[in-house]
Amino acid sequence: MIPETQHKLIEDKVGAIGSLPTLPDVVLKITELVNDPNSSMRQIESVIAVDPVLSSTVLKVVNSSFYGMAQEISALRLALVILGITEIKNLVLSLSVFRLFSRGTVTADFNIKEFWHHSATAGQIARSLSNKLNLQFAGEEFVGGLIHDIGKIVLFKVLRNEYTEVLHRVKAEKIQLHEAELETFGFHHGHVGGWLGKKWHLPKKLIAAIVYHNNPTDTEEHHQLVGVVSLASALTHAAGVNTDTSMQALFIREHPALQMLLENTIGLDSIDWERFTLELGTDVQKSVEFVSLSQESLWKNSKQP
Amino acid sequence: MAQGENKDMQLSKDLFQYVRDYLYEESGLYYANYKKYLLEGRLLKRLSHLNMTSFNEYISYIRSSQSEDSELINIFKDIAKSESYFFQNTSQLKALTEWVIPELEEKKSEKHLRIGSFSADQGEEAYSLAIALHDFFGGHRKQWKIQIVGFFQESERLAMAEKGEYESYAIRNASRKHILRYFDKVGAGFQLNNEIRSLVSFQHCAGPEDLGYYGRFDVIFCRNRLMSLGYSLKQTLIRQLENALRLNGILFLGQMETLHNLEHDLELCHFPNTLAYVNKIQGES
Repeated sequence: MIPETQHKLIEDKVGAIGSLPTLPDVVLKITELVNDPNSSMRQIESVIAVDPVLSSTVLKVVNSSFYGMAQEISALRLALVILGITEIKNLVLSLSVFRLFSRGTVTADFNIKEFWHHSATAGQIARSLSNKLNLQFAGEEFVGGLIHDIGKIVLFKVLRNEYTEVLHRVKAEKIQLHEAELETFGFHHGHVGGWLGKKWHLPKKLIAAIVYHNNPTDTEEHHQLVGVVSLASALTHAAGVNTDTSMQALFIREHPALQMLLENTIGLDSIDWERFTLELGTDVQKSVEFVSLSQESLWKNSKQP
Repeated sequence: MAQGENKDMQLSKDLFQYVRDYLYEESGLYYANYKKYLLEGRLLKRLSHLNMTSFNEYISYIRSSQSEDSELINIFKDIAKSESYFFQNTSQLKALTEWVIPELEEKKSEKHLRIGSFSADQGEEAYSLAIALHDFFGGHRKQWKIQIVGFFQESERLAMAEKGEYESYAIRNASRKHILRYFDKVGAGFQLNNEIRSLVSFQHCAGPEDLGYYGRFDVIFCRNRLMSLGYSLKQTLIRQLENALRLNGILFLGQMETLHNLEHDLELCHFPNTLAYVNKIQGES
């Protein structure tokens, strides 16, 4: 999935230094259960219930405008029935990654708040796009958007000084971030995110979306998810929450991810882009709610024993 | 009619989507879901003006044959009126100074910037542009030849714009710094000082066809004008605007306006929080 050369470079440069957080067991256990045809909903429910902070946060998000449910969903079991086990699995994954990385210092060079604002909006736009295109992702598109830039956090945490220099260069010279990263390290944040995703045993689809979001046409498989996440990330520019300072005007109809999606998706050419982008403010609002609600729920409760 | 509609006068979700889609198809103006409250407020004003008591009644009225298109025109007039103030769309001004001008600076050998304002206002936009550019260029402005032209079809509005005098309502979005720096208090209102007024010229323009006489522009602003025109006039105007743009020239519309349902050869492009259309075809000069 990640090119061999980059994988080795990252192992040497990032893996050797950093002690990176591991995903909680709950994510692995749920993934196993979801993939096991003999598992029961009761089993999945009890795995999530082991972590009361997580399960109450899942319910809060499910009942927020983020999902816009007509009725209140009062129990995990009901959420699993109504939204489906895959959707809930992906929500648990989203919340777990967010929990691991959402606290951090805000510096002039790396603003963790803006980072998550951009990422959650990309996730939400990916959801809207998938709805529009009738793509059945069951939540992978949201996680994909939410964690597509996770490699940036890793680079900032592990190689802070070198990475800060790269960020400065990007700002001053108006060059693309992933290309500046490639020049400096021999790999970019997509590679690093994919490398971490592999360590975390994330599905290959998601790893592809992370690795190729900057150059979507390089992917050999999972064209739809890669395309949707890449396009959603670009659209955050139109939504006013892009963290990439090098981007100028976005010509959505010329975006390579769109060209790739056109070849792989029926009905895409009928998207009214003016209408879609004028509606992006709704996606921004939803992602703000996701971030603030999850953060509040995960932190407030995390202080309890 | 839904029970209780008279009481709280809220636009139901279905009715909102119906009116929104109707406006969009007719005019290209799009009220996003999160801007429902804006449309609600806009329509309530019309309702009270017409002494109507329900949205249903009003919507039948918009669509009825006797009102033809005139009620839609009233809505558009209200929008144009309420959106005529200084710094109405800061995202567009930001796009201009942060992306469009730096790009021009790189590409153009001669530092010449021509901006046209063909908006439904009384010069607020042309002057906002002048202030934004004055701030942006500071002392370096001498290297640039900047021309801002405001076009008006109605001589009344032209005269108002030339005078450069506005009520305090029109400058509610201007910063204190801007007001102190660029405006003089005149009676109950404010007048722009010569520093800014000298940056803008105003032209009478009998119709879209006339735009052709004024050469080509790097950027054209055309706020809240297209929506109030009938289809064929709209089509004529957009083709004229297209012709008036230089290669890679950019057209900005009102905040919620689009070229939906119009035939054109411009390319949709996005800057943060604002969409625009770019001319990618080299025309005859």
